[in-house]
Order: sequence, then C-alpha cells, then structure tokens
Amino acid sequence: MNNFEFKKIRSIINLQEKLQPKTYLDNLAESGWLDMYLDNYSKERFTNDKEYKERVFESMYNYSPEVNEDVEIYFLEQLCESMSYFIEYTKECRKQKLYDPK
Amino acid sequence: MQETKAIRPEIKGLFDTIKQQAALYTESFDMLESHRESYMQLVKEINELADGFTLKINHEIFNLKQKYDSITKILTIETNKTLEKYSELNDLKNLQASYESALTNINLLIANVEKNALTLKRDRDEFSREISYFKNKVNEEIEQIANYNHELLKELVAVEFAKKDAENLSKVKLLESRILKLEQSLWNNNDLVNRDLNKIYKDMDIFKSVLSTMSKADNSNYTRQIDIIFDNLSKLELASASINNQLYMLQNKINKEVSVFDQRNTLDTSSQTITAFFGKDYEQEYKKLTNRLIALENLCSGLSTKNTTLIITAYSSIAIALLSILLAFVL
Repeated sequence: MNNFEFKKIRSIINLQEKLQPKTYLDNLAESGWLDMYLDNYSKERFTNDKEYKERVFESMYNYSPEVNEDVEIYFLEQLCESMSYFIEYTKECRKQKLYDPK
Repeated sequence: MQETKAIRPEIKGLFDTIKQQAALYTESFDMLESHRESYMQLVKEINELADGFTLKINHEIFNLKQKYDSITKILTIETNKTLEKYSELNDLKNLQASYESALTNINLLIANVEKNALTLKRDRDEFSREISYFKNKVNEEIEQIANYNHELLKELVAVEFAKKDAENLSKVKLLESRILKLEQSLWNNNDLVNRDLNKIYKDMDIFKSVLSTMSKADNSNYTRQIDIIFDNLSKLELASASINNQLYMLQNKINKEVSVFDQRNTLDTSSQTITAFFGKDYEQEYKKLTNRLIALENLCSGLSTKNTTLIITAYSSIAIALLSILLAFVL
C-alpha cells in the first residue's frame, strides 16, 4: 500500500466516523452503565464475540465520562500487539542496519 | 471528535508520541519505499545492463575464444616452425662444429703432409740414387746370367736336338720297314687273288668248251645252272676289281702319308729344336702319325680278310658248280 492509498483509506474512515449514528452501547457508556450491562446481560457475548468486544471498547473510549482501566488495558494490549507486530515487521530492517557498513 | 476521558492523560501522551513516531515511521517508510523503488529500478537497469554486458561479454568471450583458438593454432604452427628452425640451426651448429674440427684436422694433416712431402722428396732423391745404382748392378747381373743361360741353352738344345734326331731317324726307319712289309703283304694278296682268278678263268674256259660240246643235249636246267654259275663268276670278277681298286687307293694313301711325313721332317730347324726342347707339339705330331699308321695297318688287315673271304666264297661256288655238273652227268 502506498502513501496515497493509505491517505485515501484514512479519509474514508474519518467520513464513516462522522456519519456514524449513536448506538445504545454509546449511550450506556456515556451514562456509566455499560459495565453493569456487560456483567449482567452480555458477558458471554463479550468474551466470545471479538467484533462486539471491539465495539464495546470503542464506545467506552468515545463516551466514558471517567477513566476506565479495562479500556486502558485493552488499548495498551492493542498497542503492544501492534508494536510487537511492528518490531517483528522491522526486524529485517534493523538486522540490515546492524550490518550496514556505514 | 471530542477528547476521550476513558484513558488517563499519560497513556494518551504515550499514544500521541507513538502516533507521531508512527507518522515519522510512515514518512521514513514512504521514503524507504521510494528509495526501494528507485533501487529496484536501478537494480532492474543494472540487471538489464548486466544482461547486456553478459551478452556482450559472452559475445566478446566467444570472439576472444575464437581468436584464442586461431592464435593458439598459429602459435603452435609458428612454434613448430621455430622448433624445426631451431633443430635445423642446431644441426647447422653441429655441422659447423664438425666442419671446424675437420678444418683443424685438415690443417694438421696439411702440415703433416708438407712435412712428409719434404721427407718423401728427400727419400725420393735417395731412392732414385739407390735405384740407379741397383739398376746398374742388376743390369750387369742380368747380362751375366743371360750370357750364361744362353750358352747353357745352346748346349742343351744341341744335345736334345741330336737325341730327337736320332729318335726320329729310328722311328722313320721303323715306319718305312712297316710300310714296306704292308706293301709286300698287299701285293702278295693281290698276286694271290689274280692267280686264283686266272685259274678260275681257265677252269671256266674249259667248262665253257665242255658245255659247247654238250650243247646238243640242250637241257633247260643245265643252261639255267650254267647261267647262275656265270652270274656268280661275273660277281666274283666285280669283287676282284673292287679289291684291286681299294688296293690302289690304299697305295695312294700310303704314298701321301709318306710324303706328309717327309714334309714334316723337312720343316724349319729352329721350330723343331724348340719343340724338341719343350717337347709338346712334337709329341702330338708323332702321336698323330702313329695313330694314322695303326689305322692303315687295320685297314690292310681288313682288306686281307675281305680278300680271303671272297676267295673262299669263289672257291666254294666253283666247287658247288662242278659238283652240280658232275651230278648232272651222273644222272
């Protein structure tokens, strides 16, 4: 993927975010009842459905009124995962840099 | 989009720094990508160039190989030629060395020959002197020996000539006596034959007269027998004539041989003395003469035997004729 394509995809995602309507999960996260909802009504789905889990944490990230450690851990895990992927991805480059004669 | 409150600001700062670094990384990756692309392009160009160069180099290598092969062949040919020339030069060098050694040898030989020529000249003078001295001496010696031998030869020739003359005279006398004897025997035989023939003729005349008296009887058988007898008589006459003829021829031959012998005896005295001295020709001639005399003797003896047989047959035929006449009278 070149730079132009990457920017185009990025703008499309931004547009999608702007056009996205407010869901019930967003409302629950804004009111501070989402944790309780998940524990009582959709715990199994939360643990098994990965997409659902992403949507839940997305809502928490956007509409939560206070600091939530689970969201932090989740995004940090995501970050760790991305970083590890990045590290793995750039491993060859770093190796080559190590063998650079300069 | 509003600021989130679910995450603490430290973590947000962390995310921001990561975001900035990600942006930087993106830029650097973009740059890297562009560099990679340019690098790939460069590599591609380089590869194309390398392919071109490879093709060109292969072509050049092939040309070089061909040139190398041709040059190698030329070099091998030239090397062989130079080796041949080198070997020829070596041979020439060896030949030159041998010629030089031969030249030195020839020079040495010339010096030796000059020395030897001088010595030979000296020796030749001495030898000519010695030869002249020896020649004179030898001539003197030869003259002396020749004189001595001449006298000795003269004496020997005289002695031998006398001996051979005596022998020849004795042999001639013997031959003459033999020839006389043979002539006498021949003439005796001839006389005997003539006498017998005369007797037969006389008898035949008597017989003819008797027959004429008996002509009255005129018997055919008698006349036939008488004819046969006359035929036999005529044959006898012919035989006696041939014998006489042979005797005459024999006499002629003997006379010829005697004349030849006399001629041989009256040859040049010098040649006779030489043959008498060396002995070969004379002996051969003597042998020839003796052989001829022996042949004449044999011929005479053969003629005498022939004469006797003819006489015997003549007598026997006459006796048979008389017996037949007598028997005719008796019957």
